[in-house]
Amino acid sequence: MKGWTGNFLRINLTNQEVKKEKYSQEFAKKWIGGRGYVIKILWDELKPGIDPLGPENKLVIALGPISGITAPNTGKLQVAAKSPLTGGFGDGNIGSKVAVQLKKAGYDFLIIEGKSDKPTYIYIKDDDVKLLSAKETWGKGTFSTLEWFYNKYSRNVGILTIGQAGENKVLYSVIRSMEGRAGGRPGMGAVMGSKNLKAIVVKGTKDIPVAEPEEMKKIGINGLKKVKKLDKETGWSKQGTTGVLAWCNEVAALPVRNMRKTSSKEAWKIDGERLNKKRVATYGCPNCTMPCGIAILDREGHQAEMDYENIGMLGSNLEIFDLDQVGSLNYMCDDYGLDTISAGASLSFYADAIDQGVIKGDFKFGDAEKAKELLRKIAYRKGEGDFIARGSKKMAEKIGQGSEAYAMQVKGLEMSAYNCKFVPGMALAFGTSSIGAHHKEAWVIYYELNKTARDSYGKEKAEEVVRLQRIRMGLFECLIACRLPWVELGLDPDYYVEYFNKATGLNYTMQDFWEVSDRIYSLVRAFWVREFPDWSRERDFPPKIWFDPSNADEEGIIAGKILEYDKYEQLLAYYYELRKWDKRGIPKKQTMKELKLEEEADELEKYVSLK
Amino acid sequence: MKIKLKIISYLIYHVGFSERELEFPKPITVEELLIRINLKKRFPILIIRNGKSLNVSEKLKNGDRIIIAPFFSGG
Repeated sequence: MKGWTGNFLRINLTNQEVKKEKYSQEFAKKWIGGRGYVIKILWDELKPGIDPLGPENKLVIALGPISGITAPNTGKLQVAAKSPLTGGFGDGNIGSKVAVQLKKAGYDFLIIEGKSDKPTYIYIKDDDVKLLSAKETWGKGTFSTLEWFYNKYSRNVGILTIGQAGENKVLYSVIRSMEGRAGGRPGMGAVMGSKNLKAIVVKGTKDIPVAEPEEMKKIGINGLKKVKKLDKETGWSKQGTTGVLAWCNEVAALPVRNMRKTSSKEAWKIDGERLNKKRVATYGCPNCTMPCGIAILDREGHQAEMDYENIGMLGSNLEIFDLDQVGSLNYMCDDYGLDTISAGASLSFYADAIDQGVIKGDFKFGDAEKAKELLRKIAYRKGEGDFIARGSKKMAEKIGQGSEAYAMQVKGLEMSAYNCKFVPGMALAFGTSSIGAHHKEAWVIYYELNKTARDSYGKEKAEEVVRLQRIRMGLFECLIACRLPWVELGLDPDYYVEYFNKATGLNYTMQDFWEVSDRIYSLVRAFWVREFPDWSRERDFPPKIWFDPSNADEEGIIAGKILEYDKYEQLLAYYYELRKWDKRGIPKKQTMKELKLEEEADELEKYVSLK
Repeated sequence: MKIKLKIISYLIYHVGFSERELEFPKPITVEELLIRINLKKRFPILIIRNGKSLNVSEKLKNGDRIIIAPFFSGG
């Protein structure tokens, strides 16, 4: 095989066995890599109904055919497992040197099974794979853990690690890398922690097999130069992703006060302009020439690497408009290994529930010091932190009293920082995102607010959601590469198709990638349905408060406006129609056949009837 | 005629400010505004008034709050 190595490691932590195995090119061509690989492996190897935090769950870490090879933003990998937060499919995408090193070590993916009886880390150097004691790093935060490994192995290795939150199985703990990088929002850190796995350290020294090395080098370097030039011309990385905060505030889509409000007069205090002025360092992923990690000094003097989602969810959504304090919360989440989005949303739900009088507590919106105390308690699962560590859906189920309506999540995963109380297409993107409410699969809001009527529930919005999901999932998260050169600087996605063909010697078109994407989406949906056989379309709806007239803004550009339930249902029906799913949101038997998922359809039929 | 202008993201560094009140002796179009602030034909951009997109030929009104943002393609 070219592009792919054709090898993977199966690492069983229970019996401490490591097996080097091979897989077929047919598998590679059908699933490409990254997200395609992880869903197929989890579908085949996990029994439905298993405890996500038990030894039966498996953690899969996958690269793609161009991961780690010199081209724009290819330093990324996919992590996945059954999610302890949602009970469904969980994955995430992380910028990491592991993407480069694992490929050079000669592997396309890792399947990590079982549970070690003591804290362990995996060390991979080419064919040498060891399971070693993590006694000295267990209990440490991610920053000091990384430092410990750098001191032991140098900075030239790739490292994935968890912090205390993962060790203590906080349901929204993440996996971290290279100080500022994180991924696996739906509790992938907790899955690592449940296996007593503290870290994975990788060093590779082999050549990466590719079909046309000279041509790839030329195209890859040209791409890197082009992205750098575009970034220089525009100045995009001056604010990076945080440039969008001021826009969200202007168009009434900023999360403020557990998303009850859509803008704030104080938003300017935490926007990208202010952040850029306070910048002390800039960080990026491997093979990136448009680095977006803007570090400032937080209130305690740590370097905190910020992006838009972090500021939106730990700042405006908690009504904390002090950038240094938001930096502190950001740094703490990074060190403990907490997902900044779900941590911010769970805290804001907690403050809201107290404010509504349905639960007792002394946390109020705007109280940064108390938020810090709570993050510590969440990471160590102490006191009220143990409750907040479950995420907003489970918190609301426990509290009751109507609080489910303002637990801002879909399928158990908290919304990222776009307030869609009057943004129907983006609400659909949250509703149909394959891990729960996450923005990355279809950031349709910009198209929607600028190119369509905001109050429209027309088919064009569902079509755009599907189009973006196809590019993002079928192309970028399978290859794997970061989407930002395309999204922010306009690099043509066809660039990556050409690069893939040069790497593999194949001749795929964008249409081929879309077909793979559709296959992935239907299998991810099948995974959810197999776990929850009583599946209904209600699971693709955003929280009820977005349909509640009493929650409409009282002033501003969307005063009096909210989502309309019947129209959202129609928009969702359009989406199902495009995906060829039935009215419940389950792939039809014929659809699965067309997507070459016949065996998977037979398996799914054991749990639900297919139309 | 007075308008309030808000510039978003990296466009700030090309225009030289992020927010300003501007006064014109007579009504102008969006296109004329873009020439005044040195943004015409430089980048794909979007102009928003009261939450709705404007095209370049539209006239600005006294008291408008105009937002100019780069065009992110979304993803």
